[in-house]
Amino acid sequence: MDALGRVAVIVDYEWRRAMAKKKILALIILAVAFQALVMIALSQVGTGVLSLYGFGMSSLIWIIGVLEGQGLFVQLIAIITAGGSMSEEYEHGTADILLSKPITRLEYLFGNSWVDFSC
Amino acid sequence: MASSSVLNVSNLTKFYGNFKALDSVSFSVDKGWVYGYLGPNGAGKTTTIRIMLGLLKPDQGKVQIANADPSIDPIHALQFVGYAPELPTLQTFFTGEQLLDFMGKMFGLSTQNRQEKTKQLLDLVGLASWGNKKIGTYSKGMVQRLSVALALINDPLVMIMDEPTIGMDPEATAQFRNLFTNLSKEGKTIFISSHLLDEVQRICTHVGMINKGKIVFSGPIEQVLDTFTQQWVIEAELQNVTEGMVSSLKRLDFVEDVKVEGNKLMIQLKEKRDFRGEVSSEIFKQKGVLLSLNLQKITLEDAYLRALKGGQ
Repeated sequence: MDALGRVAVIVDYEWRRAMAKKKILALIILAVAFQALVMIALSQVGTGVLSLYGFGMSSLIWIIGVLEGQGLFVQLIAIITAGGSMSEEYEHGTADILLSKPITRLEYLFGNSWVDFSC
Repeated sequence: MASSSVLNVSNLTKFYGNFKALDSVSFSVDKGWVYGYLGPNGAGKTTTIRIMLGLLKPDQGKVQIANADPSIDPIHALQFVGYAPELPTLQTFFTGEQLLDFMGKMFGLSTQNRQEKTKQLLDLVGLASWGNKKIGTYSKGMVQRLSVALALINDPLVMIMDEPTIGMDPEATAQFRNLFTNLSKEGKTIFISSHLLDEVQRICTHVGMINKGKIVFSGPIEQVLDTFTQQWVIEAELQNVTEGMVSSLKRLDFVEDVKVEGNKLMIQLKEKRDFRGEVSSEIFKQKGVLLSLNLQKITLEDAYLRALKGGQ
């Protein structure tokens, strides 16, 4: 088995581990739902309503769209970091069982962070 | 290094801050040996094992498993190593089958091979009916059993086990003792770290003793018993003990001394040899009625305690 194969095994493992944590799944759904709610509200009300309050806000409404997307991204990163991928495995000792197998630290690290980012 | 040595540890030294956990620890384990690694709490047993698996880097010295250093080349060194940690924390979200299958993947086994192995190993450790249940629902002893199965998934040449029978019931302990003996007969090399001296004496061919980070003894089990035995004693139980019998036994040239404890004679020998034949014929000559006759050799526990005292 080559290095890529070994990383793939870790990716598969970490993915299943993340999915097994129902708390993380619930948090992700909650974050997405909240952001979607703001978007839906805006689309329903229409930017025309906002311009009623003056200040020529309608020309700046795109900022909300940008911040919304970024906000979601930041929230997801926070959730996943808080979910603690690798640190938790070290604390519980499950990392020992994986690292005592024929795999290099780098491959393990790579497989782990891959899942963190793709989550 | 002998060519038959599969596990070679040389001059390992490890510091935790200022504390010297290991002090030039060296030993080697040959193919087919069951090596018992003994020592009191905090002597450095688990540290040695963690270095052997490449989980810790030593400050000095090195480990060779199948001619590869696990901290430099884990891919080659650990391919044929099975490891069962002490009180393992297994992934509770997997079922037993899933975890065995996953570990098989880590060794690059084919799907078919993994399925066969999983079934076979669950049978072997007596978890056949638990394979499809989540590990979170297992008892401590069952986790321990699964951990031994996991250590066998890659058909290892060397099995490294840290207190493998802790938390198992007596029946399971006996069953696993047989399992380890059978595995060593198949040619596997087994390294067991344990506190259970009785257990070690029954299954191990060789022992290593560590105390305060130093190896006190490493060699065949008969040799450790011999080295740390001062004297062999024959215990003779008689229907009744007479003065004449005691003095005639004392006159025998291989007898050091005879002590009387009720209707028992403790015959201390000058040599470490089995003189039961001579003793029984002497008692017979003196018209004594012999009820039992035992040769008391030293137990591993006695030897261990003496070795630790000597090492301090």
